[in-house]
Amino acid sequence: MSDSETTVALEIKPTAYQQQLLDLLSSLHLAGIQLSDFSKTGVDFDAVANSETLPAAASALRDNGFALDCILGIDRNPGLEAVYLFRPFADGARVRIRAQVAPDRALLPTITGIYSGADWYEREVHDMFGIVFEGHSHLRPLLLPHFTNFHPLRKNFHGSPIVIPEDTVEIPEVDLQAAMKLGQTDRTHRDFFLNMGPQHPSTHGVLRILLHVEGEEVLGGRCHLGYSHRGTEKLAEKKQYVQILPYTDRMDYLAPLNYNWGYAALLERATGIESTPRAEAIRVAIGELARVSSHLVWLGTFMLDLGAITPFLFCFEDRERILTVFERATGQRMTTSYIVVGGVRNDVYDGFIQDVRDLLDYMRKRLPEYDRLVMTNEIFLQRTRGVGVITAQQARDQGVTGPVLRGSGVDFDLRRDEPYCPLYQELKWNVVVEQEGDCLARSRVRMREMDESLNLIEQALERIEEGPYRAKIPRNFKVNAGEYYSATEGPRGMVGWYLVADGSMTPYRLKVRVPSFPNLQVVESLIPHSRVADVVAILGSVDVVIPEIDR
Amino acid sequence: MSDEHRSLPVMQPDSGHTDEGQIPPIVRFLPLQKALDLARANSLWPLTFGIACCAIEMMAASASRYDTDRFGAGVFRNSPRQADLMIVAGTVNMKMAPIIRRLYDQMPAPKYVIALGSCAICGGPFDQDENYAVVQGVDKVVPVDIFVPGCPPRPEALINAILELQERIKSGQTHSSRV
Amino acid sequence: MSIVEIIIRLIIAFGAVFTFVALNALFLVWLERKVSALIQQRLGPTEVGPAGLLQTLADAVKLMGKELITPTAVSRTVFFLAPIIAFLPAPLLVAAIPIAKGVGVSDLNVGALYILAISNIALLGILMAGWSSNNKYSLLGAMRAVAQNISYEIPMLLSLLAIILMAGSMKFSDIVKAQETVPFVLLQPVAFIIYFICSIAESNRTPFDIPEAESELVAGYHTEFTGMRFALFFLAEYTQVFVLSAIVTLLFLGGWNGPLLPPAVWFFLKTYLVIFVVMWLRWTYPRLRSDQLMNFNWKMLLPAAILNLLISSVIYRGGFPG
Repeated sequence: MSDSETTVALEIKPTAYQQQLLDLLSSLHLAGIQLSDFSKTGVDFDAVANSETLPAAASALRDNGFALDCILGIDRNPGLEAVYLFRPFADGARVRIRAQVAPDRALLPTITGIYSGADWYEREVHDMFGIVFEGHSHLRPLLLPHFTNFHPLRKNFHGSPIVIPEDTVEIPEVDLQAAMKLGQTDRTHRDFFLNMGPQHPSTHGVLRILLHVEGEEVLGGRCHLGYSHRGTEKLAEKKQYVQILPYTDRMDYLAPLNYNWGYAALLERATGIESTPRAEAIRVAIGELARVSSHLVWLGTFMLDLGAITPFLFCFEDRERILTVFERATGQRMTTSYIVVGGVRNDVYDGFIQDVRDLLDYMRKRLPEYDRLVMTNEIFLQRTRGVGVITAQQARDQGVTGPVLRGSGVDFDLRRDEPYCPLYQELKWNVVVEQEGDCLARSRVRMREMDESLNLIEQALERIEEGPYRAKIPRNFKVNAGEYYSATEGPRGMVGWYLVADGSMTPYRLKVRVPSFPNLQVVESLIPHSRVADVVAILGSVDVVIPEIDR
Repeated sequence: MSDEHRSLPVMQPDSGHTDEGQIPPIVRFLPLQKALDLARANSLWPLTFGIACCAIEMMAASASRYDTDRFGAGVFRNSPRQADLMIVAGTVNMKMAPIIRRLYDQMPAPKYVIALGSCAICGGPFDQDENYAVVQGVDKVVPVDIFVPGCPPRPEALINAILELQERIKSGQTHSSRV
Repeated sequence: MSIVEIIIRLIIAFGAVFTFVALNALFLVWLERKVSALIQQRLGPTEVGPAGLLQTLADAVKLMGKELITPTAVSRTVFFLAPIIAFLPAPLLVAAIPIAKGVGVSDLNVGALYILAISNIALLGILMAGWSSNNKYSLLGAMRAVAQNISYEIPMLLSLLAIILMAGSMKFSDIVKAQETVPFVLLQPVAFIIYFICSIAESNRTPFDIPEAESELVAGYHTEFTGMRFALFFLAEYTQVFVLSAIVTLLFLGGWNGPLLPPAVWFFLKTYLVIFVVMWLRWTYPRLRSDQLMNFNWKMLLPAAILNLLISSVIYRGGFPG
């Protein structure tokens, strides 16, 4: 799997913009700069960096408006590799920079000083591959327990389980204080740490946030992840491509269909199989329904965080109606595994279109009700306006995507800007953007997105034409050797899939770039100088799904 | 991967109770016991505690359409000190297992556990070779009264489990009843 | 009155008050669950007893049978006393509320003052609970509770003063008598609104439920309490809801005044109507943040209450000696 296989550089004539980027990259002393075929690999530019050139390259890309997509590790066996993906918001020009290190001396410079969003990505790569990022201020295990001594995603690791030492069930408090390095207080009094989670009503699952508080004021906080880490990426290396699909359901259980879709889109990009027009229309209809149902859960739980209980039950009732349609169409309420490579797994049932139309009518009546009950409520406005402001630059540095990004005034939606389904180009809809960047803006984005989704569904229903619901797929499904990236827009943001295929029936490495990961990371930087109640509101407003982060 | 490699937070066979306040009764007064069991069965306050996908179905079960409050099991308590029923809804991994044990220990007796979904029963789809993180079932950590299969189980299944648990409490067949 | 008579009266009063406190709490919890179910498109308890009426009884019996955990790190004496002290004012307050003319345990001549004074004892219990638990959530909850209750006491008192000014007495029966023609809610609308808001804040209910803000502080000051100790807090809270609604009824809604029906029925009708409104609010609104709560109190309620007191003293008592 050398670079020459994955890139089709020479056949493509660079456009003016691409030429400009090529010039930029070549000025950065990077090696192996190549233009890659986006439609086949999902990446536009390839480059190889080493310890010396990496920070400068990252810095230059940041100055040119690139956001950090993701950092992932690959065990080349022998040799480790860190892959950095960058992307500007303007269009889909994605830059991939590889940095190779030897497994026995796996050292790379950190880029956390350039992209604050690199923090957790580097920690994850350190967890999984043991690459040490020099200069990283807090290189502790992120997903794995702090006492683990192995790197599970290395190829020479064969699943020896985590052994919990008898005496280190809890992380000692002293260690925490040293690790937090907050230092905003004078140390004349005892610091007060508030441990939120893993069992806490508003951490949306098993997230743990350690808050450093002074009375009601929060001085800082750190998230502790991994309480729902299930080793999906390691499992994926042992499973056939088809068998991985059910795991995608269980990553984001609020919108499993969008995850199915993302995975199907990845395989379609990698194999060149195209889904049928009928399937595309069904995908849009059902995928947008999933988005609405996910946003409904967000609205309900967000209001629960703010102390209002009733909207939660209203939202769940509406969601039940959507789930009923899902169940009839896919056979399952939540873990659908419905959208597969080449189309959908089975055709929709006879009354599907009518059912969805009824649902649309119902939802169109309900959404204004939520506006009246929630969005115009004075207490709600008080609790959310000006709270947890994410600036556009901050969002870019942190790699935030989805409604959180659009709530910060960045007009970026993969459905429009990196089309993975032709229908999104043809149908009439708008990308919802709000400027303020606070909790209220994020809420408004989601509320209006539900409206847009309903419009999309209505149009997509008309496009469900006669024809096969699924393309022909070879029985022994294989992916040609190469590296592929595909990104789709889930309800929480960009769901990216990075596949390293070796030509067999199982992936060599499958990395899922989940939207909640950077979206939660940004919370850490919003916490300082807020109130305890604000932490809950901020966390609720970014809408995270913990098993998706932990994988 | 064999079991002897796994070192888990050790579950004593009879660890359904904390030490304090659990003296075996000297005199059993049957009518009172019956009345208490009846009350306990009809007032199962679950702990607000979801780990993964199944938690959403647990929430759905408590929401309007399924409404576990009808059976007296809808008062979700956030503090384990006030909860009677722990619904383990989701995958338990090595990092989480000690915390589940601790939460269980924090609950006052008598207490009951429902393992909701395949993951809580046996690790579910994640219990595969080379998986290093997932515990093969929450019954390795806490004593489980009812197992609910499904991935995730439907809310009706959870309601059924609650009703089944009520029957068991009334007939004294739970881990907590066997002092 | 002989000693025997006093003792008998005492026992009857004691029994009546405690029975009422217990039954009222059982009924209110049931009502709360039914009202919330109504608002949330649910059914609420249905299976335990007719219409789920025995549900709260089952809860209560269950709580009695629960293990009482005293965590190792707590301050034992204070932890033991806290729920008792928090519960203590509940029967004391109920005892001071007349249900109809001449009906009730007592009708003190300083009834309104007594209520204000006694209800603050519960706050002490809350503070003790929060401090002794050695739990950070409890402590934060107790801090919030104390700050909130003390702040809201002031506009509450000021709006109460306006009523006392109108009635010329602190005795509840006199205040009710003064409303025979027009209830004070019409004459003192501002005082009514302020008093109502404050009493919701005093009883720590949504949108002022920040001391036990479930989504932030797990369960607030009673996080560490199990079984009957927790039930005492629960009892105290629901009795307080009843007491505050009863006082709103007595002070503003004309108490037991009303046509046709017997006075006691009117009293309870009005009281439970107020309770229903309180529940309605709880299941509709989100929660304020602690600083917003304080701002609202000190910047809005307090000036409004002072102004209201000034204006009403000029209008109703202006220029004439009391």
